[in-house]
Amino acid sequence: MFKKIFQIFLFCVIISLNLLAQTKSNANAKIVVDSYLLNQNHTIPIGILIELENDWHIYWRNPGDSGMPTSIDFDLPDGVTISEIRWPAPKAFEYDGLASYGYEKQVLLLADLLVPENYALSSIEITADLKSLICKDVCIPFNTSVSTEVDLVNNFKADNQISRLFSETVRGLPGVKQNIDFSVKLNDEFITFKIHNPEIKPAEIESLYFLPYQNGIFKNSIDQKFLQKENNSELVVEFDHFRIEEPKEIYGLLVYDFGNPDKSRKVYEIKKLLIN
Amino acid sequence: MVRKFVLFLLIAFTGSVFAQKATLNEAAPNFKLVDSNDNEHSLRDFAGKNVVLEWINYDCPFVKKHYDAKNMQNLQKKYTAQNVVWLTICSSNKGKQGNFSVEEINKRSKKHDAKFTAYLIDEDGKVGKMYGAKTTPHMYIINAEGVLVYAGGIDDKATTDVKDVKGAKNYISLALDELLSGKSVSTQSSTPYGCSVKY
Repeated sequence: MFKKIFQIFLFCVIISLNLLAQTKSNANAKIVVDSYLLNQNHTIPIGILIELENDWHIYWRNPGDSGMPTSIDFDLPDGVTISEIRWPAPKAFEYDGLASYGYEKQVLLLADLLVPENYALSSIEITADLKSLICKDVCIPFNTSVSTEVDLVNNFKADNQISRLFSETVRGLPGVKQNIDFSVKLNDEFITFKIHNPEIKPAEIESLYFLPYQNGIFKNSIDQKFLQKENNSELVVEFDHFRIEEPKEIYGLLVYDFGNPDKSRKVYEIKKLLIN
Repeated sequence: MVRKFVLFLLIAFTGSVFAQKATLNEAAPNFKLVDSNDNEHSLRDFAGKNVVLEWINYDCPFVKKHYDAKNMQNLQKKYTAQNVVWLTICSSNKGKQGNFSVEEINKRSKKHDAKFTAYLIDEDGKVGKMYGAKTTPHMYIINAEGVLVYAGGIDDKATTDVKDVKGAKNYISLALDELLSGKSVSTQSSTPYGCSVKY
């Protein structure tokens, strides 16, 4: 009897340890800091670097049809502030007519640490509490707290690999272009965008889709009807069948794919109020 | 009561012929599924009653959140005591997460002290897709007239933390309280959150 109880206990311990090991080994996160000069404007570029095992993914600010938005809460010393997170454009994961948005392998979520001039301390510790979900064919919470110390006396030079990662990520961030001209027409089931983007020839576009920042209004999908016209593109985006409200604004990403291995996709952030 | 029943039948019949995709403020599509005790249930069996549909996968961290916190069971107990029918539906395909033998389903349901009316097995996913179920949990409420009046999340805190249950706005209790006091449902949809349904 006691032998059986002990065996069950041992079994439970092994399962728990396995689960813990699995969570820890499927993803990891840390704060990384890019190079900075302290005689400038006390803006220190930081990032949360999340690395995932093969076939696992983590979610964007809008996770899409399932999952959970990745969130980060920073714990900062008094007087120090942080900018909004800058999110790289996500990948879409489509399955059974549904879609989620997120990242695979590795993602660097960028932010700027803002330290007041003549700050009293010679270094500060910053902590980021990451709450997220990582998924493969199953999903597990990935919640972790990461910290780093930032030197406020000496200029800092990041190692080449980290610097390169920051540069690549910044280059790939959605562009915010004032000269993308678009209008929208709403009907009951969908919204039609008419888009004029002077940087892109419509004939070069293989696919175009809109990824909204807010979930619950538009159908999550990258399979959006797109029509090339001579000087502009028309894009039809369906509403979510159970949409939570009528859209008050268009705010999200326009993603252009070119079907050309030599030309990587271009992503733009667009924003327009629909209601005055 | 008879009038409600006749109205329900009319709406349900019309619904079954013309509208196989669940839509708010329209007749909820009828379906027939077998439960974990090998009993067959049809939505029409519950004509004249408010019905909750709860999409489940016992291994999903979001479902675990609500069951570990006893949130789901408390809702089930409270409202079935007020004559609400609570149908828990699993659309996990064979071999996918959440698809269990009936013995395992009943064992886990007992362990959780679940108080649903029935746990329905939708292995081919037809009913899930008919209702547009995306996540576990994903919740729907059908009023006594057979009309779909709510579709969406269980609450407004899209996390896996048990401690977030307490402070969350629970859309299901809000909607059911309104229905049971003769009012219409004020928040008819919300963004569902959870693991993807494993079709």
